[in-house]
Amino acid sequence: MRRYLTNLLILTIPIAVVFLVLQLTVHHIPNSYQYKSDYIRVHGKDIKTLALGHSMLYDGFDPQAFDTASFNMCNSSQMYDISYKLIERYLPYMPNLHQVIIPICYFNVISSREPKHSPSVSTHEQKLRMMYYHEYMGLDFGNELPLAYRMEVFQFKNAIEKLKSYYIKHIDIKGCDSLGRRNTHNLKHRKNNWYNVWNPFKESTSSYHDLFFLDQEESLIKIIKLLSSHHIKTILVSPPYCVKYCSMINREQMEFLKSYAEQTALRYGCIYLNMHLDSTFTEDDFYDIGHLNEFGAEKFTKKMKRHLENKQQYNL
Amino acid sequence: MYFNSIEFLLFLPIVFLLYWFVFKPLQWQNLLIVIASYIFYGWWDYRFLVLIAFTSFFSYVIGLLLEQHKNNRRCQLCLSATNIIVNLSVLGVFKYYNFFVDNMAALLATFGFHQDPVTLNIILPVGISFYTFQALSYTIDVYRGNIRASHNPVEFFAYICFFPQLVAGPIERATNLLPQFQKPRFFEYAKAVDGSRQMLWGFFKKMVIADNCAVIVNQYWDNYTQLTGAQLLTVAVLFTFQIYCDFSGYSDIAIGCARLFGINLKRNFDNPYFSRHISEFWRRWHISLMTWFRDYIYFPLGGSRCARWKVIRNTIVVFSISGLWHGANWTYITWGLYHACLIALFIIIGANTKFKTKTVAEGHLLPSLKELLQMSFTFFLAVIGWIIFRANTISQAIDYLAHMFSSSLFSLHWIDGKTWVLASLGMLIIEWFQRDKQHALQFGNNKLFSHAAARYCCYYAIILLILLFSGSSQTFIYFQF
Repeated sequence: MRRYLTNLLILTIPIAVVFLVLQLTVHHIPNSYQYKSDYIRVHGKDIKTLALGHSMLYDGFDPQAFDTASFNMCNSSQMYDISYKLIERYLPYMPNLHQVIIPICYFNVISSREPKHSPSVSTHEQKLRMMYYHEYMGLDFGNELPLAYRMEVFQFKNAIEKLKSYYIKHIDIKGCDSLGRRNTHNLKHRKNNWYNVWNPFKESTSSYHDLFFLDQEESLIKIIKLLSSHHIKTILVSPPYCVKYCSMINREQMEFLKSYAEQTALRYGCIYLNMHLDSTFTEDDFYDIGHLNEFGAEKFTKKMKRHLENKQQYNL
Repeated sequence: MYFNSIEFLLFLPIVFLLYWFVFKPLQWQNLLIVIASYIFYGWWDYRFLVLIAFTSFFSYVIGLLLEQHKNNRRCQLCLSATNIIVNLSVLGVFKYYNFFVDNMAALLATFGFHQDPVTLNIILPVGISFYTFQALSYTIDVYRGNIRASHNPVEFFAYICFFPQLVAGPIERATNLLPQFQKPRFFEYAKAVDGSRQMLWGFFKKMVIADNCAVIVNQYWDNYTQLTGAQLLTVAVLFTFQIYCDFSGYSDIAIGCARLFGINLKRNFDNPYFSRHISEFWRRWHISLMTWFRDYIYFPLGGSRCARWKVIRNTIVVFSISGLWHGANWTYITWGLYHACLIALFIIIGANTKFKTKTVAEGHLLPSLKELLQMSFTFFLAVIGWIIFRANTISQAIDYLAHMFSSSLFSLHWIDGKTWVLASLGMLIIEWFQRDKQHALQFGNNKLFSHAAARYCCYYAIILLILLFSGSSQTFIYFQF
């Protein structure tokens, strides 16, 4: 037995050491999650406007075009349940927060009876993202996050790829600018067949419009109520799609979205801005059909700012 | 709890150390096995524990009653029949109720009687087919007098729920496994090392080959109408490798893990894709299940010692039930019947299904041309069967085969799976050179691997391949059975 255990230790200790070194190394690679967490802890008291949501606002909200007291706390596929955990955790660091901008989009309005139409991410990718939120932003997912996703090194392949990208290929993995907006979906990054990369209408049109995304809706309402209890305004926004490629749009689903968002805004005292089919945004403003590039983001943010100022003046 | 999970990597060493260092007396070791196995099984769903506990308790009591009434054959027959009915009923309700209700409703509808079938929303407990058959074999063997009834509930529960083989086999016989829980066990270095190697090979087959093949098969299967015949054949071959590596990988992990605890489980796969004949294939594939059917259904029906038409009948019955055992779908039954027809055909033409050598190309490095053709043809027949097995419906299977055997079969368009076809062939080549061993990492008297450095290089290479190339984690295919 002693011999067996000794040999086993000889075999496994080097592996454990490699894992430990790998974990420490990969943990120190700059990433958007760690960056945003650190930024809020350090500069949170200066933030008055926060964008909180998924990639359409991660690309679309340009804090530099809004005002210097704003920050983009969005991330890819960051749905309402995660946004709620984030705002719950980081709100104490933002005592001067006035308003939070939350996206509500065509692909959000998907019946829970058709999970296959959800934003096209695999379960593995979802769990990877949960792992990043857990490891770098301290979010707790309980039993929802398997043990294999509790430490980055357990996703060995992913960790190796990250190390290769950062240390060998010198790719900027952080992926966002100093105020949190994604900077890897700019016009120069756009592919030739950019209009085929992702089509939200093709992938996210549902047959059912009687059941809103129940589990996400609950989180959305919780966000609004939490913000309201701190006298923080919620702004629901539907960022622009590239109208030229919206031929597959389901009008009924779009109407459902508009109706639901307006009712929610009315019920909870929020503002709703619908710019999904705003034709002032041209092809040159987009990275793909649903995501704005830097030019479109600037245009969208400024337009949103003007609308908000008008609404605030109107409310006065 | 899956074998290929962090939870199991933590669970196994804890149980192993407790087993050999803390719970040293036999009864305590058996109790630890039961507790650990229930934790292992309950990790999926604690509600499953009620069912396995019931099956274990019921079979234990029946075993005692059978022994108590050993002088009353009629009473024994009633008890045995009761046990079979109860256990199969439990299996039937959980696994086959909705299938039979839906098909009955469809049948009635053809005669003009339209009924809304009452289906049940039941979760199929993991491994129910395996442990039910294991419990049945115990009571049948007690009835036949092959084994004495167990008088120790802990050892009996350990026999039923032993975690390495609980959820996907091998289906153990009481005559083999139960006595091992009745005798003291001693740690044997060589056995533990060999078991560890077998586990490592099992993990490699499952996580590298099977899971990566699964990704490609799942990607292309639902869009099969858009693929050429050559591509469809590639997908079918990938599935053939997937199911072999998935299931035999699990069996290797189970057998290797059991050896760490001083328990010997029966071999479940004996290089089935090196079979020279379809009959030989079925002597090498899922050996524990097929021998179960042979001993408890085929032989009682007369086996092969009767008229030819009866032999064919018995073969069809066994393979139909085998197909049904795999799941509540007509595709599984059709798959079973397909193999039954193949074997029946060879019976009718009087083909020789026994070979002079136990292992193909025994004593030779490479197979002869004849053996190569035999293996290729048998492999091809197995691939056809796996297409039926994998299909969602019979019409999909027929459609798939029709598309595959079209003129586009000879086109040179490939899918992305070339790498994994080559990797699978590489795995098969390694198993070829180790075909006379229990598993591919059984080094034996190999001079190269007599050096510790060479062995450790081999281990690290396999571990690195697993870490770097493991595919997206897929459920073991046979968990659904």
